[in-house]
Amino acid sequence: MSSGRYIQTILEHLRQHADLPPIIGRKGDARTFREEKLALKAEGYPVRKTRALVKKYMAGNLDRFTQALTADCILVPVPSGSGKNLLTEVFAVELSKLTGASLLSAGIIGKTHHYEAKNNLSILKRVNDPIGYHIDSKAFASETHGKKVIIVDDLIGSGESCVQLKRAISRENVRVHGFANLLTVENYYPTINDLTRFVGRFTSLGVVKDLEALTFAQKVFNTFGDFTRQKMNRVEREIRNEATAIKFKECITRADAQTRRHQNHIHYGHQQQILSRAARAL
Amino acid sequence: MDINSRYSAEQLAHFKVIEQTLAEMNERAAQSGEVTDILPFSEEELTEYSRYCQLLLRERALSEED
Repeated sequence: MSSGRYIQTILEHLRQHADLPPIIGRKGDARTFREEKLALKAEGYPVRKTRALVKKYMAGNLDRFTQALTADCILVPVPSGSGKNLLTEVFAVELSKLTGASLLSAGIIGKTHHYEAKNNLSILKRVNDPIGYHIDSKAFASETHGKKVIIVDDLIGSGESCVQLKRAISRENVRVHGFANLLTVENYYPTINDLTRFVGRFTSLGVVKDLEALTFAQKVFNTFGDFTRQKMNRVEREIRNEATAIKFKECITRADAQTRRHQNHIHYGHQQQILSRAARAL
Repeated sequence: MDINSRYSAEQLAHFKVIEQTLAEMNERAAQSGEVTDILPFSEEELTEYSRYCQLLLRERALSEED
């Protein structure tokens, strides 16, 4: 079997066992939405105007929301990066009214990063100020017990905030059942072909040697596998030569180590079992 | 109960400092595309500030008036 086929098999096993909640939102171009959001921000997010914008974007999505969300769901809004964005909170309130889903009390989750996700998109810099959340475990467990957790955010692009919140929630041993968004720039996770092609960029440039390719594929999956395709595609476009590939390889190694530190050991142990099974199957 | 009354005057003053500093940092990053490695607040400080912001946002989100 060629090393490319080995890599693909490992990635197939990892993806098959990965927890990838459905993204519930209408896919579309976010330019107009961002402009409208900026205009609201400039006015300090007036309540009525904010609600009007939320309802406008919800209007095309009502069936999708009512089919996916029920009264046994609990909505968990992503804490605002700026502390000012009212859109996500209003969206969560309106979703709760529409579907009967309950709403997690405010103040149970707090963000632990300085920069807003949109200002710190580069994976090279993000390592210094990773998007993170702190959860009041007792209050969270009490409110989410017996409920399906749905993460709510106004817009999903790379999925940075939603995925990091999902990871924080999984460390509380609570499963996330979906992401609800007003608008979704990208609603697909990286496919096996995407991941294999990405790893192949590093092997073809000689930055990752054959022997370490399997380990590197695992690192790539840990770094990008549960984000939307946008995040990995953005990095892929920046790999132009050996020098940039070396830079990103180092960065992926650090990001992978960070992910593992933040993942609970049960998850990582589970991943090792999956890989052992994959190795036996080869 | 008024949200602000849950916090001491000292905490509220510190939240103001955090708010202003983060706004300036993000504004600079938005303008230049650069982020600094010097991060002025601890995770605990940011978490408390973020929780306070959410309480205010939720109160507004549930209200009908501006």
